[in-house]
Parts: sequence; structure tokens; C-alpha cells
Amino acid sequence: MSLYNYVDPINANLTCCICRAPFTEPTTTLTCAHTFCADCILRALSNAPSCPVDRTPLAPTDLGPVNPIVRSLVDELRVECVYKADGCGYVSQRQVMPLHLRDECDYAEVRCEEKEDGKTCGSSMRRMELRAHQKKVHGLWEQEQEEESLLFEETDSEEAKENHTCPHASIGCPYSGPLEPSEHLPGCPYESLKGFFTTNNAKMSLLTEQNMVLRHKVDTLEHTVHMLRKEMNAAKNALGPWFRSSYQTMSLPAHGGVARSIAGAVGVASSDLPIRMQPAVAGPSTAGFEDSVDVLAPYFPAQDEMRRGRWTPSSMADSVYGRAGGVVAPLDLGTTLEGTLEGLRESVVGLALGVDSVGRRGEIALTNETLRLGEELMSVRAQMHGLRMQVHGMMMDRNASLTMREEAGAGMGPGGAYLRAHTNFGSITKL
Amino acid sequence: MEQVTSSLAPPRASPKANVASSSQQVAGSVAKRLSSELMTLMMSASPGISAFPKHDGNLFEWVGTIEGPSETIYAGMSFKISISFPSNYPYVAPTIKFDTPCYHPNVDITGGAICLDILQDKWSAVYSVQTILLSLQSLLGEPNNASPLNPDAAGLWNNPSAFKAQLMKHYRPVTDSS
Repeated sequence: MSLYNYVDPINANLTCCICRAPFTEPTTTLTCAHTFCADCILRALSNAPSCPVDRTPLAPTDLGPVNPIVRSLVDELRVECVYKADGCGYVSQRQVMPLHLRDECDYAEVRCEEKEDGKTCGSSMRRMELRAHQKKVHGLWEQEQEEESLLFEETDSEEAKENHTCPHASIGCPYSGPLEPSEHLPGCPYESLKGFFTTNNAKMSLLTEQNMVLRHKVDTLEHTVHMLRKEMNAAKNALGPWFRSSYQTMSLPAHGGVARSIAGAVGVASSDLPIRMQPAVAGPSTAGFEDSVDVLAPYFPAQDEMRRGRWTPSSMADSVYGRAGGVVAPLDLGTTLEGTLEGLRESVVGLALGVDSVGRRGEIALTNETLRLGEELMSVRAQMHGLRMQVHGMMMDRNASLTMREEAGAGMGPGGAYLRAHTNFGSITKL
Repeated sequence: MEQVTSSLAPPRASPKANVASSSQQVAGSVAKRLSSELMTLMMSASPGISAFPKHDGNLFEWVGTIEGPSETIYAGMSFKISISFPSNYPYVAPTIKFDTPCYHPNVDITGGAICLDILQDKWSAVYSVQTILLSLQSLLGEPNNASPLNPDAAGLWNNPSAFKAQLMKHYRPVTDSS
């Protein structure tokens, strides 16, 4: 039956191109694989023996059942009861609707099967009117009323006791009484609100669904935050005191939002992070370097300066730099790690150049000194020579005077005097 | 020609009168298909074609309008047509005729009957009002001179000025009074 009203929008692929409604008993042509409702294609074939889509010759024997999946897809589409206009609000899967019409629907046409004088009554009416009809026309219930009055009263009282509750009890209608739902509904204030509740329920279920999805997302995000925090701690440990400066860099305007949001998400960690940072930075830097300043300062003033700058929190930097005398530019903790490393490398290169030039200068100085010493040595030697010459002169004078004295004394042989003079002379020359 | 007879018959004339509910059902399914077509036609808004039921409450008689395609001799003209659906639509083609006199090789100038294969032996249940109107629109610019309903028009087709003169002589602009 293509007469159902479908509740949901229909996928165009599930629509028969003859009746323009979702397939009923979908049937496929074995020759060209086009799908139609069974009724539609059979009627079309009775008019023209070809496929309505591509006009290839087609006989009823060329038809076969469609894939069961397609059949299930169309059978599970939700439809409204055909008596909706009369007041039946029943909605179900299409495959269930025939059962509803046959057995349940109060608005469905039924036939009275009561036999009277060997003839079936056969008049048709709505199911809800059937009982009244049988009672009135066939006296069915009246005849048995006497005998079954008790039973009837029972059933009536049962019905009364049964206290039909309003179909809208779930949304708050407190009604509970003998009225059938169909009698109660027109006056039920909740009936007019029905639409609101339906949309509301739909919205609620949608929200619940979204909530589930969001909760899942939040879980994932929390996990990610946890991981990130772990990684951050690891990075912090690896970076040591540098971490603070990178943290400060992160809270620069460009990344400020991220840093703040992370801080907000972490919550506790954000509040104790700076506090934990403080001792970590201040401890080793101050305590560890007080003595290193004393011990190493005379030997490595520049290096010490660098290390000091590096390890000192910016709050202490001023005093340190004041003491250091500003020979080397102070480290800027506000820059990135890479920038600082670059700066350090440049400093090292500068230092290497300095050491090189110092070496050369020393070498030149050494050469100069050697030359000067050589010259001095030569001058000393010359002076020594002069002195020797003077001594020699003095000796010659003395010898001459001595010889003259001996000759004047005519005492000793010339050989002996010569020998003595010669000995003296030798000793002098040996000076 | 069989369409004419079927269109004259009342919409819910079903040969099998023994099952009253089934004939009602069939009429219902035809109405359903027609209302779905109407919906499609209104939603798609194809240029130059339109159609709508003639009277409220009777989905089986429609009136449509076709505008002559641009760059054809019919450009700037619009033609009114009437469509009447048989009770066994869409298995049988609807009956269509021009209400506005249309000087065209395949259109009867007096009765408005149309000679178009898809409205006769080439009809298929998957065709719709929209496809029919589009086919008619293209038929205006590309007549089939081999099987003319109007031999004069077929003869004049290759002489545009004379054809246009004849066309204008017969043409009456569409008025809203129907």
C-alpha cells in the first residue's frame, strides 16, 4: 500500500519511480536491475511489456525479489495510522501497521460477523462502535445480561476500578478515572500541550545525546591534558631553570590565551606551578654559586658571569649584573631558549677569537722580550770586554812597573820575572 | 486515441467494481502520486513550465503553461495546455492538448491534440508532468516533420517568415479567464 503517510523524510533511493512512494514489496528486474513496487511493475507490464525506465523488453518472469536489506529498509520506515484524520495517533513501523489496523485500531472499519436468521449481519462500522452495535441491533449483550449481569458488573466495576489513566500520564496528567482515553482526551489540558512535550522530548533526547558526546570529548580532553601535564613536567625537568623563562614566553600575548586556558584547565597545577618554580630556581642558583663566584671568579670571570646570569632569576639579575661590571652582556631570560643558545654560541666564538688574539699578542711580546734580552746581553758582554781591557791595561802597567823595579834591583834572573809576569797575565786573561 | 476515451471516463472508474475498497485505494494511490508530482513541480521550479490543478479538490485535471524556448520561432510566446489524467495513471499516459492555438507541425491547430511518441506508444510509468512539459517545450523548437498533424505547418517550417506569419495569425495570447 502506497497510501501510508511516512513520518520521516524518505531517502529518494528507496522510492519507486512509478508511484513515487517508498517501495512496497520491492521487486527488481533481473535483466536491467531496476527496482519497483511489485504492484507497480506488474501493472506497468500489463500496459507495456518493457521496463518503464529503459524500455528494454520485460516479462513478469524477469522479475525477482530485491535484496532483503532494501526490503527491511522500507519495511522499517515509520508510518502514521491511516485513520489519523479520524483521531488515531498511532505511529509504527510500516510492517507492523497492518496488524494494528486489523486488530487494534478503534477507528478501523470492521464488519459485524453476527449471524441472525442464518444470515451474516455484515454491516461495517468503526471498531469502537462494534460493541454498541451488537448490543443494540442484535441484543447480544442484553440477552446475556441477566445471566452475566454479575460478570458485567464485575467487568464494569473492573473497568471503573481499572481507572483508565490518561495517555499523557507520563507528562503529568493526573487524570485517572472511568473515562476512556478517547472520551477524556478532548478535555485533557495535556492534549493541547502534547506537541510541546513531543518537541521537548525530542530536544531532550537530542541534548542527552549531545551531552554524551560532549562528555566523551571532555574525557578525551582530560586525558590529553593529563598527558600534556606529564610531558610538561618532563620538559620542565629536562629544561631545569630554563622552564620558567619558556613559561613566561608562553604567556606572551601570542600564546597567552593558550597558556591561560591550560592554566585554567589544570587548575591546581597552575596555582602551585610558580610557587614550585621559585625554590627550584632560587635554590641552586644562589646557594650553588656563592662559592663558585669566590673560587672561580679570578680565573674565569667571563664564564662565571654568564653562568651567573643564566642561573639567576630576573628579579636578582640587577644586583648580579651590578657586581659583574657588565663586561659581558647579561642573559635575557625573556628570549627563547634558541635565542639564548645562539647568543651563548656567539659569546663562545668571541671568546675563542679573544683567546686566539691574546695568544698571538703573547707570542709577539715574547719575541720582543727575547730580542731585547739578546741586545742587553750583548751590551753587557761589550761592557765586560771594556772592563777586561781596562784590567788588562792596569795589569800591563803593574807588570811594567814591577819589571822596572826588578831591573832596578838587578836581583833576579829575567827568566823568573818573565815567568811570574806570564803567570799573572794568564790568570788575568782567565778572568 | 485510447487516452481520449479513458480521460472522458470519470477518474475512479475501475473495471473491477466487486472490491470497492480496492478501487478507492487505486484512486488514492493515483492521487498520492499526483500530489507528489505537484510538490516536485512546485519545488523544482523549472524555467518556462508550470502546471497546477484546474479546480481545487480535483487532482485529475490540470492546466499548464509552456513558454516558447528562446532562440526558436516560439520565443516570447506562452501556450496554455490542459492535462487530464486517467484513473490508471501513471500506467497510461495523460491526455494533453493545447488550449492556446499553436501553429506547429505536430499540433492539431483546431483541436490542440499533440502527436508526440512519449504521449502515445512510448509512454512509460516513470514519466511525469514535469518530463512531459519539458518534452513539449523542446518539441516546439524541434518538430518531427516526418509525421505531421498539421501538414501546412510542416511544409512551411523551412520558411521561417511565412511560418511566423501563420503562427501569429493563429496565436492568441494567454488570458487568465479560462
